[in-house]
Amino acid sequence: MVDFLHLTKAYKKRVVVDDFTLSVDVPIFGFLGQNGAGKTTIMKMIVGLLEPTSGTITIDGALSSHPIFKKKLGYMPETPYFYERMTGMEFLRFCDELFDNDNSGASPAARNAHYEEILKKVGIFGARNAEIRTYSKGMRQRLGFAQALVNDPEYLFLDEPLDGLDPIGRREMKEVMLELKREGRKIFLNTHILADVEEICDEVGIIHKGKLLYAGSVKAFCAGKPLEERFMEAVEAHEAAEAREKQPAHEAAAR
Amino acid sequence: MTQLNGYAKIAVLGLLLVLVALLQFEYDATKLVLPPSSSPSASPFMVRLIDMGFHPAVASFMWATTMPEILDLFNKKTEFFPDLAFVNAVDPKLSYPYAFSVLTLPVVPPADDPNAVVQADAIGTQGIANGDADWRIPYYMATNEFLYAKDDIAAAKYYDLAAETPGIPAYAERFSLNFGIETNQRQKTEQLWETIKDSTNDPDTQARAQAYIDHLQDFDYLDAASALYKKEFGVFPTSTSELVQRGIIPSVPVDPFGFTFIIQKGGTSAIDLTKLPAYMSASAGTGQ
Amino acid sequence: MRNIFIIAKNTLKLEIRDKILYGIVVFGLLYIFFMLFLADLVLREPTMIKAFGLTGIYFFNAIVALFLGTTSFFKDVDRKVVYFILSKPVSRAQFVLGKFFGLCMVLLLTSAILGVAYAGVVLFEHAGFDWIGLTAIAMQFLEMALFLAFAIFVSTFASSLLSIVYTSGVFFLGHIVSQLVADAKAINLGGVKLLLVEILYYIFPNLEKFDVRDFAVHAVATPWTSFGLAFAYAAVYIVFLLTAAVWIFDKKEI
Repeated sequence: MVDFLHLTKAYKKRVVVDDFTLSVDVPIFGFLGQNGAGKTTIMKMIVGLLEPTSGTITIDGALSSHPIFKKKLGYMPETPYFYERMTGMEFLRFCDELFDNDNSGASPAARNAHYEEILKKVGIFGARNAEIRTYSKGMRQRLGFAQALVNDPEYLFLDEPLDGLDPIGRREMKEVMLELKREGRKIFLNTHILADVEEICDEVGIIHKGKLLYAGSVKAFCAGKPLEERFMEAVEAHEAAEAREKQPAHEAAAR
Repeated sequence: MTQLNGYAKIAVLGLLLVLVALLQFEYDATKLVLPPSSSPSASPFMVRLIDMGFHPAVASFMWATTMPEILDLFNKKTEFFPDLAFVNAVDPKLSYPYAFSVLTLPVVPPADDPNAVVQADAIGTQGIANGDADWRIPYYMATNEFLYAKDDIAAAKYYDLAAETPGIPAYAERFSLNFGIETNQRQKTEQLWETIKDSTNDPDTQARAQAYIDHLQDFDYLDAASALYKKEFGVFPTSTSELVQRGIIPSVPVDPFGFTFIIQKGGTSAIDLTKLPAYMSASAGTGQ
Repeated sequence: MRNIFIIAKNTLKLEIRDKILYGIVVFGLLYIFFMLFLADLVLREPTMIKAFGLTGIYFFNAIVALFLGTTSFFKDVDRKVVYFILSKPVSRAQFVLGKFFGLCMVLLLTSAILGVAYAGVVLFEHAGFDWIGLTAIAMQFLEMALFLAFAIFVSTFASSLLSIVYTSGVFFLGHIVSQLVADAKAINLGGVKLLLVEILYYIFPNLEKFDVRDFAVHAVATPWTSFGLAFAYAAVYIVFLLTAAVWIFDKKEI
């Protein structure tokens, strides 16, 4: 169970995440929203890259960004950047070593087999010994996905995991995510692609300008209409409500 | 331009390069030149300030450019001296510039300029005072005194100083200690050291002078013994031990500098070059 | 703690792969040839060969340290490679320290390679095995470590270009501080101003103590107390700089 409690992130000029409260307990949860809605910021706060201005994120009661808990989670950043001169295998090994797991007892051969399995799963096994600077955009996405699996995580946080993949790649990665769900892992993913949400998410959270507009089952949200239409409705309704809130002050000032 | 084929493109680039070369040539011909300065543009103080502790390297590098100027003295261009002073100011302990100057100044044409030895002396004295202990400075000074200034007393003193400088190679030390022992020089050298001994109140210098005198007199002693031997036995002895065995002398004299004496074919005494004193083979020195 | 070693090892490996190794080997060879060439210019005078050799090593290492110190850490953060690292159970302090030690290892490698080349050339020129020269190389390594720490510290808040400017400036000034204080006294600077200059003298990184080249070239060995004090000074100053760097980096939004 992942709990967001009054999560807020504010910079000097604007509030990026606004009093975000949510509880999630489903295998695959999708954060859906436009670019700049605050999805990436939320995910960075989950994994401890950013500090919340206020509020907490807990997983099963423990702070998600605590080092002990971080061992159980995997994270894939939006548009991953790598050390270009490392090979795929080396990069996985480097990431794995940083977990300081009890895997120190395992033999290098066993760990290598583990990495190879992951690389096969994401489909870049063939390029495992090539330097990352030779990788295409799609291969980099896949490698980013792969390193999130290296510590056998219970929870996965993926920021735009399907970005830059061709249709076949998108299909393959969605299959991987469903397989991970079958293995009992919990996945959170950020996306602005409505079709992906419909296809694989058990529940969705609609985020707009740092606020949570809706959280719950996709089907319930759609209520028969296409997701796109419902999404636009929700956003416009929110915008209208905001405008109404501001208006009395304007009119009062005008008088 | 982009419609040209491959060869034409190469030709165009080639032409542009030729133009560049021509312009460079033109520039060189008309280049502004600063009037030559008689002294370095920066002061040693500034150099020491900004060279961030690279004193020896900077001084060495400046020395590399100063060395050739010594030949210009022939043409009455005297940049060498201020430049040498500059090098010395940047790193006073760098000994080679002093040594090189002492050695070379008197032999730069015109070679019989008496002033050259005086200048060399001044530089050498500075080098002995400020520079690292370098046997070459007093050694070359001694040579200058002997060869050009004909001042044997000064030469003897400097050879002695060189011999006592750590790091002197064996051959130079041997030469320094045995300066003036040749039969026709010997008496003059003895008088020389007597003069030095009498001219000072310093017990160390007197003891040192006495050592030289004893060293020289050992040769006289052995030469006389050898002549006596010849008179008695008709032939010269082949070794010093024969002189003792045949009762000419009670024992072989002990050399104050640790050399071993031999009798040469003509009956005169000399030092044994194959048996140098132990302390000499220990000092490798920087000689070449 | 093990994370520091992992990041350090990785930094070393990547920087070497990057260009540095080829640069070192090429420079090592050029350096040897250049030393021999200069040696001929000064008629193979051993003191001068040593002067050129030790200065060359110092100069090269300073350039490498400047380049690595101002870019390695900054690039990892600026290009967001750190997202992969800091989302794992790795603290920001471990990352800073890991980068620092990794870069130190690169400088250790260059010092060792060039040290061997230097000793070889000196030996070849019949000037014996220069132990004192090697201690001078050890001292300059301490200076490079301090230099790296400063560069990393600056790159937590400044871009690469600014870091280069600040770090070069500190490096340059660090070698003339004593002279500046002497100058201030010579021109009879007033009480408060002089006090300020003297305070600055004590807390500004004073790099002169690591320069024993002047002594080494003239065959004067560095006493153990000097070496010990220099080491302690470098250690404390490095702790100061890296602590500040970690504290700044902790607050940085990435």
